[in-house]
Amino acid sequence: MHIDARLLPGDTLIEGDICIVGTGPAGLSIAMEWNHTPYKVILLEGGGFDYDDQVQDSYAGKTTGQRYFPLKSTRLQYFGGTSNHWAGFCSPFDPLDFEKRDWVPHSGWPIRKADLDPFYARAQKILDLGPYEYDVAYWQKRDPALRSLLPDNPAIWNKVWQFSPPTRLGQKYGSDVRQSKNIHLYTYSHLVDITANEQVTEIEKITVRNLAGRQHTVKAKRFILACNTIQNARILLAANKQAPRGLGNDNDLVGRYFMEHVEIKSAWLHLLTPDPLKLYLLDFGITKMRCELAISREMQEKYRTLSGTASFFPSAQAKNFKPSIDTWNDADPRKNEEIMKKNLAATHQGNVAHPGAGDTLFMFKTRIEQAPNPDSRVTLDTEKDALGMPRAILHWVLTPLEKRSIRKLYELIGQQAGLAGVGRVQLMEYLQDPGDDSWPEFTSGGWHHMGTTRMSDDPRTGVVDGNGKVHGIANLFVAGGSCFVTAAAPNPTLTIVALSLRLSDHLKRLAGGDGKKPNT
Amino acid sequence: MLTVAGAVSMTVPFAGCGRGNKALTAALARPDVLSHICDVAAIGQIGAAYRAQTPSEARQDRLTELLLPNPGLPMADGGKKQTTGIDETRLPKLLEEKIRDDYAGGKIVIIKGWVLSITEARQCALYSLGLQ
Repeated sequence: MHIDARLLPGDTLIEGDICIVGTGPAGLSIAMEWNHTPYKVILLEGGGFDYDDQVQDSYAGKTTGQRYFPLKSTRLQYFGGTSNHWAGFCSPFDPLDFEKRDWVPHSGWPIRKADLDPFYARAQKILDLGPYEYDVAYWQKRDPALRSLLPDNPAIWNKVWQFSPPTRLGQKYGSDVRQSKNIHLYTYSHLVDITANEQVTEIEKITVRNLAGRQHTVKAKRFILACNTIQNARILLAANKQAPRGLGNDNDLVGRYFMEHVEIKSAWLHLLTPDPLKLYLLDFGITKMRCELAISREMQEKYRTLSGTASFFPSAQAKNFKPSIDTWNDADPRKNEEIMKKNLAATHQGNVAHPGAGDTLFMFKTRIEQAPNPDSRVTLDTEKDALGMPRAILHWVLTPLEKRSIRKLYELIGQQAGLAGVGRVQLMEYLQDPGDDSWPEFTSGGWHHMGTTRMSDDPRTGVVDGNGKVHGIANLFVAGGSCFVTAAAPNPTLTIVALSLRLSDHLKRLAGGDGKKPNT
Repeated sequence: MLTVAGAVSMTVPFAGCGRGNKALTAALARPDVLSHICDVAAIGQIGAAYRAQTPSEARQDRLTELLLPNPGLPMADGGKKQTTGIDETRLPKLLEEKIRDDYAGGKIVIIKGWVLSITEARQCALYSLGLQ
């Protein structure tokens, strides 16, 4: 059922079994797992069912360090969250992404890839993807035209992506939520405070507020913060009346280790004979899967690099390529989306996205993880939003390892292209000097926010444990990309949903089982 | 970009070379794959950059020595490595194999951003000497 919190009498007490804060991919995925159960689920959304610029304003904040998008435009605050404008790119993380890598400081998750596999399979359905098949051979068997550019080799492999329509989760589940008897959706309920018990070991209540001036109290047995990476950190840091450094922040970790993907044009591939590279090209809304070239586990270990991938743009499309950091620069996300749509349409004019018989020149664009870095962080501003919450400040910092890894990726692709006799690779100018750690102006992110409430079994190195529970607080959980320890190469949404489903199962076990409410 | 015919006609005007040496040098200074991808100016620039980066290989005799396939270069007049009497018709194939071996063995260099086998880079360097 749906309740507009602006219409409730002031200081209404809302009570339930679990309270989920946020209706994006993390929060809504969890909520739907609890539909038709005996549990009363309080689902809180800061906005309504449509974009509202006044509501969205609470996401505005300063950025320092590496050039970045306007914060207000990177996440959406209305039902469905940022799934309302995501692009639908999905691929699971690799086993190595979860492991401790001695050349990647602060790497190592408390869970393994195998722990997430069953949840990845379930997440595929939520995001309307195909089968949980990410082996290129599976797809090549069904379409022999999906030929590999580089034959089997130990350095570079074909990493599969699948594409969601993209699913707008608010549209997909809106009706189900409204009709649900046990999910109580409260829109215009923006979390502004968290109150714990005296020992700060358990959350007693949270306070929500809206621009209509109404404030309400929510009590539940368990609370799940599923807002987004910046907002999760902002909320915990701002909840500082009982814990001066913020909740869950005894070890000064909340907000640190903010990660993005570096997305940047990087090199050229010159082929000796024209090739359409069907396996690698993307036509938005049509392509169901494609591959990107990825650096193998063995090479990551040998050369001590990060995980990254290379995607292809035919030469005609490359000519129209505009770095997202140069085009997504309005505070209003709707204006940026319009510009992006126009750019996308321009690149498709003349069928340049699919060069028919083939092309001989392709541009490579990189997506690479950034090394977890405590200096890359979210902090609180002294300036407050209209609801009285301190605004977020993002200080995004990259390290030399990211750039060195990009260079090695194309060195290896170039080596394999030469060995296979298919062509040659030329690095772009900014990568040509191995001693140059600077980043060009067109360095972009992927709008992928991760890491500010990182996961670890040790409270000294993580904000939440392997299940997403905040260390030291019995009934407070965090869901979403903020729990990521490392960023891997893939876009994060599939892993966010998988991790959220895993948390949901954990919460069901804590609550007494799947679908049966315990007597006690 | 060079056409195939253009690549074949790409010559290196070394003064003072005998007829055999001149033809051999021209064959050695012809990076076959790159000549299908780049124009001659770019090949010259790659070569000049390689020479600047590797001064110990900046001379024609040194580059020629390094480029000659070894061992087993087919000779018309014996098995010793020398710059006369080489069966030039087999040279492209031997260089191709040498380049493939470079890529397989990781003998690659990055020159002006190009990820090249060291043999290709030396071929460009030899070519660039003729442009001086």
